[in-house]
Amino acid sequence: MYKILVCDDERDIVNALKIYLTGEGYDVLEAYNGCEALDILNRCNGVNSDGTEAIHLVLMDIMMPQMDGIEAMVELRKSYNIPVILLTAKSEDMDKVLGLNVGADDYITKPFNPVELIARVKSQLRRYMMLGGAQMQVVPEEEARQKLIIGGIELDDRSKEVTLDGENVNLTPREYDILKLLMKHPGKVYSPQEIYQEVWQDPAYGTENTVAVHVRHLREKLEYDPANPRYLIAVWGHGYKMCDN
Amino acid sequence: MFEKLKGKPSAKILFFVLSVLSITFSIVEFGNILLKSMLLEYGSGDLYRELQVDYIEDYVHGIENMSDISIYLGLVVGIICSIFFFIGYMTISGYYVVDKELQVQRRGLSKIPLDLNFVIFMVLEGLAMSLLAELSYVLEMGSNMAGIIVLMICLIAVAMVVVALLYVMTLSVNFKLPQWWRHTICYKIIDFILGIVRNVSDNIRCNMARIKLQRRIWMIVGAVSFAEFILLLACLDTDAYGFLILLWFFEKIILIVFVYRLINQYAQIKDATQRISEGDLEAEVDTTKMFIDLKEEGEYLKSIKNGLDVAIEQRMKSERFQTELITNVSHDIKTPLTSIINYVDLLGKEKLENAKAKEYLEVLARQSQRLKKLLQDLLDASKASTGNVELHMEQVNAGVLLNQTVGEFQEKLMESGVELNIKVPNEEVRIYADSRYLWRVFDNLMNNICKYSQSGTRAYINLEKTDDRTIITFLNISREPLNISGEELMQRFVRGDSSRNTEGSGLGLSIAQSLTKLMGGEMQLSVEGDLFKVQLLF
Repeated sequence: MYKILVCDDERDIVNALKIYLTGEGYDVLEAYNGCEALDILNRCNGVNSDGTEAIHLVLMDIMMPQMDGIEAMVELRKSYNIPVILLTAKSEDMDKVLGLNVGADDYITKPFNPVELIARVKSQLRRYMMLGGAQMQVVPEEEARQKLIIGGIELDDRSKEVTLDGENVNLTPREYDILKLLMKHPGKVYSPQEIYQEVWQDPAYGTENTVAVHVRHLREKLEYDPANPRYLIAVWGHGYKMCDN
Repeated sequence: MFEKLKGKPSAKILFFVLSVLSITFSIVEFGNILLKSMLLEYGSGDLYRELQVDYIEDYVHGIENMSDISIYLGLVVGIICSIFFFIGYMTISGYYVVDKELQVQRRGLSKIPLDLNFVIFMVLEGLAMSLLAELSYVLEMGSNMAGIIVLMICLIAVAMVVVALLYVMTLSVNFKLPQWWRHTICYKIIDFILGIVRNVSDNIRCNMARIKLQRRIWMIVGAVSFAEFILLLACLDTDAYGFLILLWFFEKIILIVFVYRLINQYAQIKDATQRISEGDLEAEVDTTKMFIDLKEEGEYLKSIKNGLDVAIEQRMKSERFQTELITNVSHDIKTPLTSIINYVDLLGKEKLENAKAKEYLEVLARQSQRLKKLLQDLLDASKASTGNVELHMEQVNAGVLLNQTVGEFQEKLMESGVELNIKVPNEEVRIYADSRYLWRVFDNLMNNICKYSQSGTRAYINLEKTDDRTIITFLNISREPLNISGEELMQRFVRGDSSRNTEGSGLGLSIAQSLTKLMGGEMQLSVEGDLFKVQLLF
């Protein structure tokens, strides 16, 4: 099964994580600081290893002695592209941005909801197995043009299907249209009026509420933490945009 | 050329002596030439009769017999030697070896001040000359001490050469030293007088500084006017119009210069003060050349500026300390809290037969979640109230934001049984704020509405724009009776629900108010019966 490396200087937290993860059927390896984590990684995933012991995901705390999470992250990214989820009590925006910038795939703050944590782990693993690392899926060009892919969200315009990390997501037609519009131009901010006009094909008269409601639903279906969305971002006072990862 | 001889006293004496000798010799040879031409004209007989001195007879004979060439040669040699020794003496004079170093020093005769020196020299030579004149007159008159007189004349002549040489030497020594003009009596007298004047004026200035500014100015004006008056009176009888006009002119020039300087300095101080008041604490004023009072003002300004610098530095330090404290503490609290939440959750997954244990576990779960929310709110509240947030201010479309907010809360509103009415004007209403934090404020207020409204009632949100401000009003009916004022409610940890049963932390309104204030707006709360009204004014 999949192997996960858990790294935190708090033994209790490492223990709790181990219990959760083994409960989901994963193998767990432990480390208590950045140096240990790198050692284990080199042993299991390094050039001299035979691949049988390879680690598939790393859960790493930031505030650790000897070598902190960010440093270890940078080192790690020099040789491996396995998914890394940063786990930390530092919840400022700056810290999140820094973490993601140095190469982390996700960021979850303590105290965390265990259910959310497991969901994120699963999502990262699925994506890793499907898209990167383990196997490369060759997507025929024609097919690629019909598909809109942003992060873990895949929208297939031929089959009108939307998947999140490989798992199907049920969207209403309006929700689908809104998602497609936003995914076609990632990073562009659409005002509620513009979205309404495009999707309902009607001029918007005081019905901007509707758009907000639909976006809210979309977010709840697509995001692990709707309050802190990774993909569907609300630009308050202006509109909405799809984050361009 | 004479470098090696400088500083050697023996060399000085030698050169002195040799200079005297060669100069004397040159003069003598010159005299011989004159004598010879006289002898040719008048014949020697006359001279003998005049002087009747033996040795002189012999001497004149000797000259008569000497060839012209030898005399001229002697003269030339004498002149060359004189020049050589004179220059040499002048060059090496004044040098002494002090602590193994060659220095020029004034010693002995050179110490006499130059003007005095000059006077003494003139007097001596004058005396010598008059003496010589007397003596030669005596000689002409005829005397039996002719021999001695002639000798005396020779001696006096030599003495004159010596004195002249010494005088020139002192001159050369003095000129070798820097600022030789200071070594005169005149200079010393002038310097002395100036010193006294300076002292007096410093004294006056000191004393003036002690007298109050206004009294001082009136004193000066009074004194000047009085002096003018006296002068005018004095000039009344005379026709000294020209003098009066000149005086008037003179006074005006002084006045103008004074006023100009005064205005300049004042302008400098004013400018520096303005810059400091605008926040530029680097403004400096050069107080060195100012009048007393303005100088003092400049100094005060400097100390104000320093005080400000210190105060600001301290404030920044304390703020930094505060934020560090809060981030560190909150981080340290979150770590054990994480474990608590995790293990409570894990416990929940274990099979617990004991019903009471399950109940207690639920309490633990609930409270630990509440603690988590409280911690986050505390962090936000402290950041917002110390202004430690980075604001990205922009023109936010209030109408769009409101509609987005309503969209987000639609479900929660439905669950709470609250019907929301919003009123937004047709034209675009823009607020200058940070969109994320404005959303936070709306978020807090909407959460309050959802949590505390009476089910089945309506809530209202109003957006209106008057000439100078934008007002957003949130109105709802409270489920529980509100027995406290709006002000109290906004205090931290105060909640309308006095039983403290619900999940709120009591910080929502406080955070909203801090954020609103940070963005330049104002939040007003009023409670009337069960009607709860929040107004945001921008």
